[in-house]
Amino acid sequence: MTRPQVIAPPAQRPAALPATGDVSPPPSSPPRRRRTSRLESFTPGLGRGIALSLLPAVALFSTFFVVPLGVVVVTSLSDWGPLDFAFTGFENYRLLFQDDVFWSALRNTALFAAAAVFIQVPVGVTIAVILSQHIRGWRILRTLYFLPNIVSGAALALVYVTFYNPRYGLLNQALGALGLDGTRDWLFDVDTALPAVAATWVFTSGLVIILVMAEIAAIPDEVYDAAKVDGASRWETTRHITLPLLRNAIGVCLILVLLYTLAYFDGVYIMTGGGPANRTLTLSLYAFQEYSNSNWGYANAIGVLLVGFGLIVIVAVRRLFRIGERDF
Amino acid sequence: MRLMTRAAAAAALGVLAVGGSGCFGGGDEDSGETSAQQGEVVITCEACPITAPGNDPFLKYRKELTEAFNAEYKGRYRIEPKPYTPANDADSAQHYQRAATTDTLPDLFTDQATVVRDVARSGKLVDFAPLLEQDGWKATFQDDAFLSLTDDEGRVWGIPEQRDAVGIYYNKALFERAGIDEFPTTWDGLLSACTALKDAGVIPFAMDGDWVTQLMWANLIGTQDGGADFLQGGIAEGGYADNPVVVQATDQLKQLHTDGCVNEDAFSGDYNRAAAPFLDGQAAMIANGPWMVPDLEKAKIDAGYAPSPGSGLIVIPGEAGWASGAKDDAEREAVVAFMKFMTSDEQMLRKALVTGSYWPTTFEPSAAQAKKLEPLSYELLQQADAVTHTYRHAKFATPQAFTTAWINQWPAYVQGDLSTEDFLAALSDAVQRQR
Repeated sequence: MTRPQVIAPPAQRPAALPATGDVSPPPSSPPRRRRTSRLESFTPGLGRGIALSLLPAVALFSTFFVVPLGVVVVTSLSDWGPLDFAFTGFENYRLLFQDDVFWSALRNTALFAAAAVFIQVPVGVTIAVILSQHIRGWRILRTLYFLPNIVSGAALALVYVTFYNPRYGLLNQALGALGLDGTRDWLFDVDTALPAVAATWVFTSGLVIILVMAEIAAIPDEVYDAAKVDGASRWETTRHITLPLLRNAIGVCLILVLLYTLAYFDGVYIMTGGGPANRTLTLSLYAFQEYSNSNWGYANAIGVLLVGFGLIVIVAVRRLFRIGERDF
Repeated sequence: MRLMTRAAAAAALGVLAVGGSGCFGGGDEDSGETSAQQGEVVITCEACPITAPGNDPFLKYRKELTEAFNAEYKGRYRIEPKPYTPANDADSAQHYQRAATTDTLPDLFTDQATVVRDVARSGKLVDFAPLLEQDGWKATFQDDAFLSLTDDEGRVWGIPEQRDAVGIYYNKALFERAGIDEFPTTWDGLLSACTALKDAGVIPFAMDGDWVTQLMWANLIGTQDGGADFLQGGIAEGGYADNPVVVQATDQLKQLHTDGCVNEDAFSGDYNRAAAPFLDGQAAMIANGPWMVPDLEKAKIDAGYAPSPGSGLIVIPGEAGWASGAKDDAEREAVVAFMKFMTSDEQMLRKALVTGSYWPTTFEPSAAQAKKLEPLSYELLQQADAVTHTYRHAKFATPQAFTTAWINQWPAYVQGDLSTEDFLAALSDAVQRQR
């Protein structure tokens, strides 16, 4: 079968319709300039009004984001603790790159990110595609899959602490009942700690499912009708139409899960505290630990790197997935 | 237009509210002036609770202490409680360090001695050394009461409120089931008891990977020659891997785990992991302080309380203290009045009765008073003079980074992922880095 053709976007979008009540310019007058100047003459001080209406948002954004971020960046160049402060230039960054614990945290964060990209998102997309076929009970399943997303991460972590407990946890009891080794301390065994922590969230794809299902619902029926006419099977339709058209949604999901793994803190803090021997330590948790140890400047240097990694993730995924460009 | 009217009305209400609060604020100022005119000195206290929810005996004791002081000194001094509840030890340490930096320390607060000494570096704390010399106040304390709260230059940065002995609780019924007649007095005896208890299907020792585990580490170090000195001073310096006493103790503690003498979930750093099996009657022993007695009573555990094998006892003299950021003479005078009130015989006895925690003073209770005290912990405290070794708990001489590193590295070390030297080097690095 030939690949069904995707409806191409129009070369040019139709011009926006005039707003209700807008007065069309007289045919003789130059279109744009004249209209703007007339608008201004009718509503003097409009520019000032817009500026004033933006002011609260700008003030809040500056107060709660720009200024703190600036403080983090500036103090990352200092040796800063509760009782001392001294600018040390890029010393914190130099120390970071020589710090084995930092590299462990970076490695673990990268592994969590890989788990999110290669397991969490594919699982979510697969489930979303299946549920979009409107199989029996799909609404209930969608709700069930989304449930973990509305439960606090800390509460879930506490549940998993009990689940993994080597003495009375459900996992070991089940393994023991099956005649397998039911004594392992999953969260504090150096070999199993990282996968055990990742397993607590990597299959929680509710958000991915919801976003992808919404995108699938937005694909025009005509596209599928055309494929049907061409004799495409359900698998071929999914492979050649649905999945390529999910590019935007998958890209957004990737950005979300990657940023989540960069900031991943609560679960690992509660379950393992970053141990054993830093096997589950993430960059966010390491920054927190350094803050708790009163190395505030060092902690902020880790924070600055996290912001940098986040920006790289956003730019890279946006470009790779051409997020924002429509296919239909 | 209607919207504008509503906005104007809201603004007017806002102005009224601000004005109103200003009026009330003025009222406060007036009452403050009245107090000042009457000569009442008001001091703030972040360790004084306003309410004591639940069954926390320490909250109950401090609330009653504050009320009793305010009643006793009515019209002269008054404590204004500004309770602060930290999330954890590290949070508390940073809170007071920040307060020192911003010159907002309360007139009264409590924290661990290591934190108090750290905050003292700011120069914002009251030095009690000269005040203790007045009126023979210092003589009312035991000799070692100020050991942890005194710096190298002899300045005293806090007044201790308790001095406790920390031993090992054991479940008499489980010991009997395993055929053990009495608590082992040697480390070899403890290993034999461990085997007997395991054979009887009992978890010999409850540990948590942090507090309780480190208590046993301190016992293993402190009962060796030179161990007490290390726990008193050397532990704050690092270099543990070079100390044979520490290396041997660490190996022995690991052996307790690898021999299966410890609960399987002993690595989380969560105290409840140790407390739960002991209070459930599954584990036979746990190291902890007298503050655990109310839990034992609630769990109806028939427990004995003994010194460590090797004839040792952890004694915690003034590891936490009441410190003060009072700025003027009047406030300092009120603070000293409170400290003297708190450490009076009457209040120390009341504290022991309410909390099960004992006094750092020279108070000698009468036979009738002693009879009312909790027998397990009081008898153990009496044994402090009879044991061969007394020493501090490792945790009180080390910064937060030590605990973080311990919780992190201990499971990997026990599993054989790290050598003893590497484990101790990781602890040393953490301590030296934070210093």
